[in-house]
Amino acid sequence: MPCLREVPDLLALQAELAAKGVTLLGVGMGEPAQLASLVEPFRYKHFPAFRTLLRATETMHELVSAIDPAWNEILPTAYILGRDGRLLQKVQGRKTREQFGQLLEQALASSPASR
Amino acid sequence: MVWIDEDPNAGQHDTGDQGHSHMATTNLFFARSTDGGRTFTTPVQFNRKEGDVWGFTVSTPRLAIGANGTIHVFYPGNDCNSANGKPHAVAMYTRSTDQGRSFDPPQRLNTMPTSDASHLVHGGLTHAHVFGTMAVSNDDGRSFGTDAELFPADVCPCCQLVAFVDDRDRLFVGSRQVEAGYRDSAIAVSADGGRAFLPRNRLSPNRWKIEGCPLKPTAVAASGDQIWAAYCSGGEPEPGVHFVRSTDGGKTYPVPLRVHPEASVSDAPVLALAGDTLHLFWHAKTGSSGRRIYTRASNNGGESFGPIQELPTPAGSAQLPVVAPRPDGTVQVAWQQGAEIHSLQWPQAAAQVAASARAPRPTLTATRS
Repeated sequence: MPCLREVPDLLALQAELAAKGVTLLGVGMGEPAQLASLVEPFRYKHFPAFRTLLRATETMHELVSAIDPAWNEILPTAYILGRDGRLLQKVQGRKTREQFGQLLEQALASSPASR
Repeated sequence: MVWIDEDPNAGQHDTGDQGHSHMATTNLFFARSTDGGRTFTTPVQFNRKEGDVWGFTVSTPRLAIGANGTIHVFYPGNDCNSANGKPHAVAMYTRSTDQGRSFDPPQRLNTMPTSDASHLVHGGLTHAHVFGTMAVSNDDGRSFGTDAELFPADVCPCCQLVAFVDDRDRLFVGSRQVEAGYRDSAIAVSADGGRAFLPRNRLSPNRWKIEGCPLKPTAVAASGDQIWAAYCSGGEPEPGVHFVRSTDGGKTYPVPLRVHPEASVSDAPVLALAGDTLHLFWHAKTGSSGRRIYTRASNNGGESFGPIQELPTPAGSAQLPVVAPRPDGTVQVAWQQGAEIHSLQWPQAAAQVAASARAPRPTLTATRS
């Protein structure tokens, strides 16, 4: 659930770190009934390369609780997951490309690829 | 009771490629109970055009009852800027002078925008005036004067303004202030109907530094020299819902009270003064449970509070409470229960059960003859 200002930086970081296994996945905040009419047209227009999950749950809270039961609805919120799916870090508030880059490098160092 | 419900025809609205980043098309409903909340009338839809309500979790509609019984309803709506053809959010108002049997045609309170709030939200949000301006009616809502900006454009938009008028006609406005990288709750007080405000005061010395959107309004109520406020902050030593009271008309706010220390997360506080009792409600998660509604009450003007009580809501997620004082000193509480709206009287009458007020589909529309 990034800030829209962060998306170009995150897409660039994904391209830069893809060889190391970094994948970016967004979660749309829109209501399920409005995905086709509002969310997808906006995403295709502005960020066509941004792979985004669209929720089907009644509330956003139910979906996010699968990763973070203590989510407090602050936006933007980003989660850095390890290769095994474990939550490594919760990031709230807008971050720069450099800040995200540092956090991802730390995560890569703590979650090395298996050989 | 008023509430926002999803628009079942959302896919049919043509927003082209002009939509801003926070588009939402929803509908607004009204229902009335005359038996203490046991049953409600068939929900009536306010907006004439489907999807014309700009609805988010925090874009809360407001309902108030005047001394003469007029029902006043405010809500954020969707409109189109004739200057550039782009959709934007507007401030909408309607009223009922016949106890809710019919409502006036909704009217837009704001002037046309000159800013799209793109300084706050990437790509532009909507009509910036929706979030930091005020319009005044002197004829019971029949007409409104031109809207005027209350504060500099530093109100955190999604966190909304919250207004409260006390028994001395003083106006209290709670907001979350955007200042550099901070998002702090503040209250402004006006003694002349909003023509002038004392300087806004932050509610806590513990500032919340976050470049983001808390999505958390600031609740406020007042009586005499006392002002009470409740807010959720990530800047306090322990994040969550906090309560403060001022006993000097809003000049100072002593140390905040952490409302629910046992909760892993708490949010969405609301306040109501009913008789001599100050009621505080919020939602929280404790242990591995989902969100539930909790309450504490004070009988000494907020100096201290009684124990935390969980409302007897149905199983499942119960969240986003709202509260209104009742003449008998109790309060009426409503909340979101899954996809439904439920309500009960608190403290609870012995035989009362929570009443659902979900809108049936197709929805009904009230018209004024």
